[in-house]
Amino acid sequence: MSAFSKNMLLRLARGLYRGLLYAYPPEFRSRYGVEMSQLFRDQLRDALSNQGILGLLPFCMRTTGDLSKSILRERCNLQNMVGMLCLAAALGFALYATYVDRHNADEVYPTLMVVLVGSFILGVLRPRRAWRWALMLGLGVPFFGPLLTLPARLASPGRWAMLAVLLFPGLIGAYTGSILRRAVAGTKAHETGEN
Amino acid sequence: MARAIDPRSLLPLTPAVFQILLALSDQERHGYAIMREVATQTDGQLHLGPGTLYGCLKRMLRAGLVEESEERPDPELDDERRRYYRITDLGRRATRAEAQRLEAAVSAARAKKLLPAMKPALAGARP
Repeated sequence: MSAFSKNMLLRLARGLYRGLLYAYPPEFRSRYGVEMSQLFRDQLRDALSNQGILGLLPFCMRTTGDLSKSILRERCNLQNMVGMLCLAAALGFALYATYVDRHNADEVYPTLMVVLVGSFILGVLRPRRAWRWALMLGLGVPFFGPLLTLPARLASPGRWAMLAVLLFPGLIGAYTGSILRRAVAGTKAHETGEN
Repeated sequence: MARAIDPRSLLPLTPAVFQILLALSDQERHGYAIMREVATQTDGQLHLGPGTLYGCLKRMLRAGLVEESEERPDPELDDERRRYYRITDLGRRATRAEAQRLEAAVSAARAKKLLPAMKPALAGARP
């Protein structure tokens, strides 16, 4: 392999590896990303020098295994687990709101209640950037509706406008939950400070 | 504060953590040097990828087993972006405790005749 093609391969592989580093949590990537990329380059250079182009296959297999295992490990710490569970819960609430909307053709209030309560619970669990829960639940219904074959109801022109209104109870619920959680956390911190 | 922690509470160490601590026990090293040393120590049986190595280092830094070194052994010869890591006192005690634990396991295996008995010369050389 010529020096030029070796350099090109190293650059290409390192660029690809840097892209894959985005799968790690941001704080891990910002702290260790540069070092990991350097180590990857050094290991690749070693593999090419010792075994030539044939050494790339075992190296790629090892690196893929290392990446997938470590990404999973870094993503699965407790804080991230709560975040993942909240995302799953938001998806569940959105699907449930769609289901409720389907079975209450003449009324919008049951759907509004699901969005309001769901956003409130998620706002309490994860108060930061509470608007995302309102967005997920409020827009989940028009998004999941067509996927769950609701053509008749979604075909009516006023339906989309009505469903867009779901965003507001979502925001109210999410920020009420968020404010409540922060207030409780603030009270606890105050009490601890006094003691 | 690190003195208050009983190193036995950190046992058992994972093979990767134990090998990294062993690699750092004689001198401070950067990531690539740790990876090379671990491969040498394990006769090429343990290849630490970047994800595993830095994931372990992150947890070891948090546990106080290693620390980042501020001094660079030879800045002239090195890439300035490389970070060096060194073992802490707690890390050294945890490595020793883990080595003793493994030694006890090997002794138990010898007693059950799963491993050949230790040669007298080697047995005599033990401290």
